[in-house]
Amino acid sequence: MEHVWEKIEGLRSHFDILKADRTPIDVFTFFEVDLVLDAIPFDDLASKYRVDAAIKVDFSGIYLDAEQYALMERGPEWKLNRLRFTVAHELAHYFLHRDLPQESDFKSLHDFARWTANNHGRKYTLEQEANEFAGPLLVPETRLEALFDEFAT
Amino acid sequence: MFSETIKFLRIQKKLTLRDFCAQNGLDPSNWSKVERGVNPPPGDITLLERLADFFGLAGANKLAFMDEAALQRREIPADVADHQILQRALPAFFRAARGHELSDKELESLAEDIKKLHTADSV
Repeated sequence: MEHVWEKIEGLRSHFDILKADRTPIDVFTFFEVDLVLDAIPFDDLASKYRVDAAIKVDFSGIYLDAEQYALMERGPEWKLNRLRFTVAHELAHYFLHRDLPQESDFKSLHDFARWTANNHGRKYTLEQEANEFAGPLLVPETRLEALFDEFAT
Repeated sequence: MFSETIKFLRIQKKLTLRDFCAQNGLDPSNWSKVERGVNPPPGDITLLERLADFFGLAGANKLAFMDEAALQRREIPADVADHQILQRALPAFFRAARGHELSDKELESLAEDIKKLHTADSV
């Protein structure tokens, strides 16, 4: 997973918003303002499809559960944390796996279902990489170490 | 186009869609469609003027802003074909599929919902 960490460090040196002094990183401003991706509120995304956020196959925007997106500061903290992590996870696909769907040519929903369920046996690795990316993106390692030292002393 | 201009102005102010809508009393779901050119710009002149003021537009710039809105309102948004949706708008990596796949019925419902997100609201 070293390439994942290297990718994050590269991004951190490029985008001020990802600097370690503000945690957790504001992924919403990052993808909307810095990356200029569309935020697309999707009614009942979470309740109907068991997902808080999902990046579009053309990588121009991210679908977000409309209610969670609109009311994120008024809902429970854990919900915001989960949404934040999901967005960071989707951004991993943006930075690491953007070329993959372009290789495919979906002709039907069935094609899409088969591809997303398996992706030629690579799905598990892709998801692992995305999770590996999401954590350190939100909380930089240096910040985590500083916090650890603070609590340990 | 008005949709591109308004998004550009918002990004320039470093505002997320959600923050921009909160500050201007707009609904993020509807405004997302305006910014993506799916729904036409608002026809309410008072709202447009308020938005122009919000972005600090005056004189010729304000006029151009209002004109762009009027111009784009005359455009009829093209319906998004099913094939185009499959090519561009389905989720790239769907988390719900991780461990518990969507059923055929859910998948069809997802495609329909996504089509709505990329189709103009009926007035």
